[in-house]
Amino acid sequence: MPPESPPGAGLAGRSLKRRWTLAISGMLVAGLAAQILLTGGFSFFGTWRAAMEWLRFSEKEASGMQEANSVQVFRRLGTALLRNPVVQAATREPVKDRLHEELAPVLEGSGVRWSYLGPEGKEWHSDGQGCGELAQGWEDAAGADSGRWVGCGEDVVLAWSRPLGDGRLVLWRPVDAQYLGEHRALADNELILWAPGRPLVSTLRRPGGASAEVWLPEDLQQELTALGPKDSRCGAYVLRVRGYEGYRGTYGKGEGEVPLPSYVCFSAIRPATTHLPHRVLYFIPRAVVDSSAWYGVWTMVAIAALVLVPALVWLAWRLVGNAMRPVLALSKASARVAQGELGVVVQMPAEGELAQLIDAFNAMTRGLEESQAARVESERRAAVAPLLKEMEIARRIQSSILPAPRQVPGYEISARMVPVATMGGDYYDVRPTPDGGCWIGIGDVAGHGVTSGLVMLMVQSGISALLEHRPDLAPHDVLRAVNTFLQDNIRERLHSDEHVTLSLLRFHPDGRVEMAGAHEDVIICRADGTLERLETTGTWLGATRDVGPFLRTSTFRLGAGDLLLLHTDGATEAPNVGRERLGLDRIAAELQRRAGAPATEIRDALFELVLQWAPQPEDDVTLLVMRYLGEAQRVAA
Amino acid sequence: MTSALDIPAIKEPGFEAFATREENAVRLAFLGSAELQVSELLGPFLARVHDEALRLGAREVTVDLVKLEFMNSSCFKRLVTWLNLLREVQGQSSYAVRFLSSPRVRWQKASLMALSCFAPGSVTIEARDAS
Repeated sequence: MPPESPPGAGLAGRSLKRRWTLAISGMLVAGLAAQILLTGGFSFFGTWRAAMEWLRFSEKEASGMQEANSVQVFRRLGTALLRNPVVQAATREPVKDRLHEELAPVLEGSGVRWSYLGPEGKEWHSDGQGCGELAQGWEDAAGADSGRWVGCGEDVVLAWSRPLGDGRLVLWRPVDAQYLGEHRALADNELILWAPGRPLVSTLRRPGGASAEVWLPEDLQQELTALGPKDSRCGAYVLRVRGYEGYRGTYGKGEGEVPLPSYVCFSAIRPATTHLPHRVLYFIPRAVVDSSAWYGVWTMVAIAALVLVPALVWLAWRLVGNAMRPVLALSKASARVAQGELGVVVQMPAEGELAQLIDAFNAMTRGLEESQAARVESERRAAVAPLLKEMEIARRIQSSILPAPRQVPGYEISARMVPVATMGGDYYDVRPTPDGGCWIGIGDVAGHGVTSGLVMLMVQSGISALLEHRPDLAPHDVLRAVNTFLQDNIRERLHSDEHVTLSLLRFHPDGRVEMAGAHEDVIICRADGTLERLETTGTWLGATRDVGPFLRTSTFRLGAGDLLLLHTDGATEAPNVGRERLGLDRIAAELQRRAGAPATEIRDALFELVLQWAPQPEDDVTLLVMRYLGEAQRVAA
Repeated sequence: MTSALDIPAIKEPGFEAFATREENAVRLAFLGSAELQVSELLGPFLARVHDEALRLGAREVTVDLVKLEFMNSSCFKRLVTWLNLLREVQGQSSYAVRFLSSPRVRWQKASLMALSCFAPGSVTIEARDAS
């Protein structure tokens, strides 16, 4: 039985198709994700790195780092945001909303053309007029990548710049009471922006006073007034933390550190101009910065998920597919077994329990096939048993009519026939005559099997009947009569095409022999060892209506001690493994070599010669060995 | 002028048989050893030869056995059948059969002599040198 191939049709086929579809889809998605990763990954990588840097920075701060360099913090934040392609691609307004700052592009990097949001917050100024300090501040900061605070008239502006293409990007906003108020809540502090000698902005409010009024308690104003600037470029500022007197301090060059709550990032912007020696305390909500950092983180996580999930799905599908393939093969093989194909063998690499299952399945199918074969053979035997029995009966009939060893006075006779088919086509018979002689016939029906055996029986019966009533007939007359009824039986009744090669010999008591009929040559080994080969003449029987004109009886004589051999072509034409025929010469030589032995011993020796030459004869083999003992022996017997 | 007949040749391991046309005759050539298994092919082959010979009005069919080493009795049975067909043909349409045998192959002489009796007057045997 052919081995079971991997599933490819039906349920298995559909599953395979589905898996291929999933695989191709997974590969497409993975490819798309890879494309996104490759094209955007480098840009996002900067965001990722900056975000992680920021987060690490925040962690350091949370663990006790008291100083937070405002420039560094802002730089990191700005780096993270400006490298963010989303920020880059966005309009100013989203950036503004995100940063809670105003946004102004300043071209050419020199501050010659710059923009800012006017006091009303509705229009942009881009001619550089009306804010000379801001322009000056940028000029001072040209080439630097830093944050600044600058003053513009009475307005205090917090600005930060960074090179961007052929210009600069400026983030800025006015620092006013609202601004400080926003950060007061985060810092849990009252914030004051202090200019030398007077407060510029404060979150403190006079009890019952107007919200726009810049007011400080008297004692605090005196205290701040007493501080004074540290140098010509540094103004003084004060952070007054209500209820936390210990947090009061100064910031600037060489100043000390003030611990602040870790959840607020503290930025100190150094003064930019001498005539505006302001200081600003700038608090950036931690959530704003963290959200930007986490935005990059989650973006990367999403991209990774986009790539990894299809890959994991594909990998899982492959693993499941590998595990399911033997199961599907077994399922298909089982269906074939159910349809009667019992010898299905599943050949598929598997391990563990699946391998054991396949082995068990194959053992089962082998067992089923063997059982089925045994059952079929049993049924076949049962079916042909009657026929075989009849064939055996026919063979017995044929064998039984072959002559038993008969004693013919004056002759020593030994014969044997070995058929290759159940019924042989060879014929021989020995019929003693009342005068002390005998008839011997030998022949061969062309073909094998039952028909040949039946024809052989006809020959035997016909000759026996004739000789029983007309023992005086000449051999050719007997053959002519036999041919008549054979031809009728074979051609007219059986509508078959068999014919018979047959020689009939009449042995007289005095050694005279009459012979007729075309068969194999007769070999005579004279008592002195001389070999003679007698050709038979005439024609074959059963093929034509009258063979009389072609038959004649010839005569020869045997002397005492002479051996005579009759045979059929199964002996002379026996082929060896090289398809070489044994031939009559080898048989005659063996006869000559064994001439002194009893007839039976010679016969057996000749059979041994044939079977050694052709262990599996292809045709019936008949050998008859006769020795004429002489008249004296006959009379004595 | 020699032309091929519409008779497929037999080409078996160790045996070949083919037919050619020679003016008013058909020539058959058997080569090798005609074993038992050849007999099943030889019957249709000879029947086709008979039909073709009649159709073409051939006067003679020559059977060249000079290079035939052996013929099984079952194959001889096909020759007997063929000659029986020939014997049934009456009158002008019949054709003669001429066997070319090799003197060195002993069995051919006796067997062909016996065979010739089935169509007396129509079958002749001629010895030819294998060379």
